[in-house]
Amino acid sequence: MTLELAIHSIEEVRLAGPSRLEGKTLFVDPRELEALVAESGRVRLAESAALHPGQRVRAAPVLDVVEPRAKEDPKARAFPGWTGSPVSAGHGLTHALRGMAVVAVGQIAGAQEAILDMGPEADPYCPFSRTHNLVLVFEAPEGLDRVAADDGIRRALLRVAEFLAALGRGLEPDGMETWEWPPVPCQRPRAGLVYLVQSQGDLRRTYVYGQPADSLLPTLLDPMEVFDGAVVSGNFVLPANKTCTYIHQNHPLIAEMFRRHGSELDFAGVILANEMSRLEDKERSAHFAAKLAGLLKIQGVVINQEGGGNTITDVMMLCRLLSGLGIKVVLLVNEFAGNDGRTPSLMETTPEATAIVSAGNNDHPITLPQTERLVGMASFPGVEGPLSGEITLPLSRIYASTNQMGFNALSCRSR
Amino acid sequence: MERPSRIVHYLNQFFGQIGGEDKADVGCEVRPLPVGPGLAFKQLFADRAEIVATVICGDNFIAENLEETAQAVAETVARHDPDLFLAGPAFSSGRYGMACGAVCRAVGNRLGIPAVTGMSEDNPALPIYRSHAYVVPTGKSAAKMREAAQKMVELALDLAQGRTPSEGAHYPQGIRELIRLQQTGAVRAVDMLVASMSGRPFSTELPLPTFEKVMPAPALSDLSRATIVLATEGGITPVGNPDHLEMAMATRFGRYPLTGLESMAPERFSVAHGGYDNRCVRDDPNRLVPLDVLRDLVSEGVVGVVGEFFYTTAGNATSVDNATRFGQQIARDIRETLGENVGVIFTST
Repeated sequence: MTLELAIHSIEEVRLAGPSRLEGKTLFVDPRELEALVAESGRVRLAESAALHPGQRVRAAPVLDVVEPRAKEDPKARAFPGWTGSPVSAGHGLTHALRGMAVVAVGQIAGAQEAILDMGPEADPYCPFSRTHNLVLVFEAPEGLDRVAADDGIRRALLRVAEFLAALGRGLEPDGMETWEWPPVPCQRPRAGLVYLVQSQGDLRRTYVYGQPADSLLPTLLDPMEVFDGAVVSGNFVLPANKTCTYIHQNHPLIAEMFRRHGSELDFAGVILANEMSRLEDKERSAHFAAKLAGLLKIQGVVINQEGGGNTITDVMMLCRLLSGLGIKVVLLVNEFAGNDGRTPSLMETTPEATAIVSAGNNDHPITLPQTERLVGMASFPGVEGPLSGEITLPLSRIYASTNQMGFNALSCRSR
Repeated sequence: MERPSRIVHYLNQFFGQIGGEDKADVGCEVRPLPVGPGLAFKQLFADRAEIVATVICGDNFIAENLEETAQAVAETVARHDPDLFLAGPAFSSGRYGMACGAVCRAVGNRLGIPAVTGMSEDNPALPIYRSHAYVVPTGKSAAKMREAAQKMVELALDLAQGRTPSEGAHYPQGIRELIRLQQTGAVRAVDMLVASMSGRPFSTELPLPTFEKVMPAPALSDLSRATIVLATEGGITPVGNPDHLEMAMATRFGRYPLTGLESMAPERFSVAHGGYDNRCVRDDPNRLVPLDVLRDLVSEGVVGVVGEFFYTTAGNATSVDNATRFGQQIARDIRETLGENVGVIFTST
């Protein structure tokens, strides 16, 4: 089957109606967004803002980030299980607004606070300091349960993302990406992914076609359905650690596997597995994933982590099991090496973990200069004084900075 | 000419010329001059540095209470106002290596001065302390003392005079430094996989860390006479989190009274922890701080007394340094408040 992405490059977002896509400028009517959010049910849109790379502006607390997507077929949905029925994605024509993101900001008790800074000092650390961002500040009515508020924000966010990309229907795209699965067979080492997500209860969820992955038995995914809205994040652990929806939609490891297929490797498939809360469930999941890798006759895998702490147990357990089957394993994780880089980076290891790509040190302190404008909240835990001033905070608070899907270019070296 | 650098030197009982294994239990003592290997150092330093004191401590004595004794040594060292600290060399001796490493770390933390020691490559203390000291590569035994002393002196003088040590002068410290590379993590990961599958060489970006082993305290001999204290890293706080304990990357812990409480009521206690699904703990905080069961055990005579307060923090991306400090402070606080014969039930999430 074939998935075609019609890429509309966005170089500016303007808050002015009527909503339309004109060249590389996306015009958005804020009243239309308010109405869409109101229609989606539970939460209110308090503010919209268009933020561009290089601006002295800061937004917090960031919940999720999404790339606008809409199917060319008006009856089909870009976020199955959210904006419509959970029918299989990954085929047909999908419009994508590239170079921009829709950013949800809102306060939910128990969601870990994340910061997005558009200034040049943040650019090396935050991938979304480099996109044109439509920031939506959501407010939940007093007394609404935090889980319901989270659900309401996500539904509204995805609805807005789909509405925006639908503006690309009938317009000539700037480029087309064509993805095919299964790919043309080739005589190269068979390589796959163990795609780990973290779904461990309220506010720590990842959804597959709208269903929480909390008790998911590892499963095979068509890589193209990942590119087409099948996996959505509702995970609010440390903001550097988690995989936001945008990064699921643009899964960097899947893209890289496709790119090497036929020349350096034979892309054999994607095994989606959840990092479980309980040890027994971690064991079941790891053994099941290893079995699927065996069924696919995979010779090498990359395993990403999502989150940190208990989740390194899933990563190391999988590394041990897969290595035991003779499969080559590369791990992609970030580090907690202390603010001076001197503390042990990983909470758990296994001797088989000899091939690790580091996504950077979460504890590394970052100083950002005073900003001119603040969207969202005015103070931030762990930051003395107002959030608009010069701030120093650990990299882990900078949204997606050390994400473990390999979307960014940070790392660490030993000295 | 610059004034000579002031140096304090640490030795075990053997190199401190007190005695062999039979004297390994002796406590710390201070001599106002170089001793044993210190004499070789003195000769090599000539007028460029002066060993103003030597701290000698039995290997078993310090091993018994490594961190606390190392900190006491650091206090002693501080009184001599040194510019630099030397320990050992320990060669391949694990016990002496642990002592040298722990003392170097404590002195470095307390005084912020460079600490130099020497170990052979196979010394088990090396991976634990290499990032907290400048560890010079040495041979396996004291037969290589002359060579080790030469290297330690050269490195010590470089550090004392602010020069960058020459390549290979000490083991790499393994300090993790944040860098930005040309390629994304995804590209690098697939590169590494392709190399691995085709048998080509590659280097991991993250050599596996080595962990410090913590020896558990001996078991309580009689629970019915013991005081049991409750503690958790699951972030339970009084409702409203009055002291604003952090949900993650904690820099503090809290201590809250349990006096007069039969159990942990959800109206009274809630959770400040961002790293796990704490719904069931919000519903029943006893499941994290099991006061209800502990009171039952006291009334049944199984446990002597309940400590009338509990400790709490959020063990969520909290640094090892902070966690170590919390542990030491909590242990000291329990000792001072409740004395001997105390056990702690520490719950983790």
